This record gives sequence, C-alpha cells and structure tokens, in this order.
Amino acid sequence: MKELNIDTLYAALSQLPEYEAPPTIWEHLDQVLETDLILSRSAKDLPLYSPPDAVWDGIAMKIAPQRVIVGRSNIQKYYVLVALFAGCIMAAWWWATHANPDNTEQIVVTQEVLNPGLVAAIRDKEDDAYALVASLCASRAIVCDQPEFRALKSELDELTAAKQRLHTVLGQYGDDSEMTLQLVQIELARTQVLQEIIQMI
Amino acid sequence: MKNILFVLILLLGHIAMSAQSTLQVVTKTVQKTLDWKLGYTVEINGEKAEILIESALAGSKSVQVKAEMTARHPQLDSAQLDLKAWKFVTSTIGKKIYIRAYIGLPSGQALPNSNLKVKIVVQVPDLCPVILANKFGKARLEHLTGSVFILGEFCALTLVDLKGGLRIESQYGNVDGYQLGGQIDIQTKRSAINLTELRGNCSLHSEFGAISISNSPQMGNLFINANKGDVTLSTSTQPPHYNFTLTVTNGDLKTPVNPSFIVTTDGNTKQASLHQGASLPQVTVAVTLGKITIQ
Repeated sequence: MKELNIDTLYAALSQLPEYEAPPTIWEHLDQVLETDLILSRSAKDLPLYSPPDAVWDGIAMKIAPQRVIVGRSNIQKYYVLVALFAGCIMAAWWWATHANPDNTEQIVVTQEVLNPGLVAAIRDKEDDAYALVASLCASRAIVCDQPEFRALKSELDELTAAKQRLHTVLGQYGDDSEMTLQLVQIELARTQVLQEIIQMI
Repeated sequence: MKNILFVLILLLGHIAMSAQSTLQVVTKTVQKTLDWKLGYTVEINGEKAEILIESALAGSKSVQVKAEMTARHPQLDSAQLDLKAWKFVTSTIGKKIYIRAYIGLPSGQALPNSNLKVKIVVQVPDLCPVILANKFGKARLEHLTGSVFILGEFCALTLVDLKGGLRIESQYGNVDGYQLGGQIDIQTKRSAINLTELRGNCSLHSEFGAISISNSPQMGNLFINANKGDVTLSTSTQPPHYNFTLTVTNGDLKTPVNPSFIVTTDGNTKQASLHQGASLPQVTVAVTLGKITIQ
C-alpha cells in the first residue's frame, strides 16, 4: 500500500524518544555466545568408537521383520481407505436414489409431436346457426317465450358454457385426445339441441 | 437466382412448420412421504390432473405422493417459464392430510400460454378415507378399503375394487366402476355411469347420461333415478333374484319374458313390477325421457 503522507510519518518517527539498553543485557548475551562457541569446538574433539557387529546384527534382526509388517500394514490401510471411499460413494448414491425419497425434485425436458387432427378439432369455427338463435332471442321473438323453447335454449347455453370452459382448458396445441373427444361429444349434444330449436323457429 | 430464393423460402417454411408441430415438454417431478395415523383422511385437490390413488403396501403407515407437473409449448423458454406456475403443496392440518396441485399466479400476471397438466400418484394405507376433487382430467382409484368421496367436473372416473363405500358428485365426467362395495351413492350430470359386478347397496341420480349396471351375487338394494337417459340392468342370475319396481315417464320399458313383470300404463307413464319375496333385495328404477332395459 502506498503511504500518502510519508513526510509526516518520518517527522513523527524522528520525534520518538531513544533509550539505551542496560549494560547487564550485553554481558549476558556475550556469555551465551561464548558457551555456544566452546560446545561446538569441544564436539569436534570427541573420540570415535565403532560398535561391535553383534549390536548391528541385533538391530538388523529387530528391524527386518518390522519392515515387512509395516509394509503389509500400509497395504491393508490402503485397502481399508479405498473400501471406505467406495462405501461412501455407494452410500451417497443409495441415499440420493432410495433412502430419502421425501421432497425430491427433478426437471426433465422432452418433445412431443402435435396431432394435426386434434389441433383442427379444437380450432373449429362456431356454426352461424348459434348466432341466429342468439339474435332471435335478442330481438324478443315470440317463440323465445315458449316454455319448451326456453328449456332448450337454457340447455344450449349450458352446453355452450361447458364447451367454452373445456376449450379454454384444452389450450391451442391439442395435446389431450380424451378431452378433445369430450369436446366433440358436447358439440354433438349442442347440435342436437340446436336442431330441435331450429325446428321450433 | 430466383430458384435459390424459392428453395430458401421452402426451407424456411419447412423449418417453421417443424417448429410449430413439435411441442417442448418440461416436466417437474416431486416425491413426498407423509406420515399417517388411523383416523386421518387424505384430501386431494387437483386441476388438469390425471390422478391415480391406490393402496400402499400392507402395514404401511405413510402416504406416498408423486407428482409430475408439465408445461407444453412450442418454445422451450416459454414452457420452462410457465412450469413455474404449477404449485404443489402437501400439509397435515388436524386429522386431514392435504395434497394440492394448482396453477398459482401472482395477481395481475397473465395466464400461461403453455398447456399445463399434472399426473399425481398417491398410495394410501389400509382403511384410509380419501376425498378427491378434480377438474378437467381423469382419476383412477383402485383397491381401497377406506371410504371414498369424489367431486369431479370434466373428470372421467375409473374405480376398481373399492370396499369402503363411495360417494360421487360428477358433471361431464363418466363413471366406470368395477367391483364396488359398501354403500354407493352417485349423482351425475351429463355423465355416463357403467358399473360392473356391483356389490352392496347403491343409489344413483343421473341427468343426461346413460346408466349400465351389471350385478353380482352380493348386490343389495338398487335405486336409480334418471332424467333424460337410458338405464340398462344386466343380472347374472336368471331369473333375477330381486324385487323390481320400474317406472318410465315419456319413455320405453323392456323387461324379460321370464319371469313376467306386471305392467301398467297411465298416460305417458309405464310401470312394471315384480315381487318374488320380501327377503330379496329391491331394485327401484325411475326414468324420465329414457328407456329401462332389464336383461
């Protein structure tokens, strides 16, 4: 980091008070250094002795079997570690797939081909005859007041509402054949009611 | 030059058509395990859901749930974004375990363009009562021993081997049942009912829908009230071991030759009856604007 006020820092440092070490400190340090020097010189003057062969043989006999044992022990430890590691991996896999199915979540993307027949079925245009019935009753035609006509009109309205609800749920991609079939059945029922209404007009 | 341009237009058109005819389907799968105790009820609320409810392994004390929520759209980005609209919630409140899959949007946010669906598989322990409500989809329930109550709208129902009793209210959703036992009470509108090997007592109320029943030796009393729909009863025993009271208004009536029913007509109403003994189960059918067939 760059010091921005270096002049001020030096000025402040130069104003700090100075102290001298007491003489006993220097004497003590001198004694320690002298002792280290004597010891290093004396170590070089020590005599050298060779141990008897029996000592080396005894050491060799003690060390040799231990080396074998240490080698096997290391291999065993290695195997144990590998087994533990593999066990941990397997346990993690099992836990992820089996042991804890609670609250698991997964998202997958696939593709489907549209059925043109179903798409066409849900995009059929409304027949003009339905608009005719609606306009007829809007103009207060006498026939619309007849009880039988009103019952049929009520049935038609109910079926139309059901068709519209089903149409909304089906969406625009025609991916549900059963619901599309139900839509067609409702349309057939509407047609039947419409025909009865038309006969009364 | 013109030829190259023509080929390029064709190629681009083909690519555009291919992209339009393929849907990207993004599926999110969630699995949960919920603790269950005797006396607890499982309540499932679905929307655009295909639901399977089945019995868990014998002795199980937990409810297993798996939900696969999907969003389908020609564009992958849109499908991935719309998938987030799916909310799947489970919770235990009092003695009810709620499982709910719904489309939840922040206020003001437009509805997703993708087609959204969910498949839910629920495994319930023995004697666990089940309440199911579903709109726009289908449901299959099988091998359950607890009571079942279903509220369906545009939801086709398939029911197999339900022993603990059953109550259904369904609109625009056909009901197919096989080997249903206990007290059965079904009310439908614009739905066909088809029950095979019926067991126990059964009460059906239907409007705008055909009813077809085949009995089993364990079938008890049967009561049917149908408006604008045909009723067909097939009995496995000949002659049928039941007492019959059949009434048709503005419709038709067809009964077997043997045993011979007593048939009376009053204006637009026909009535047929057969009494073979007070100890036999009673079959009562009333139909308006439809046909009764006993075979």
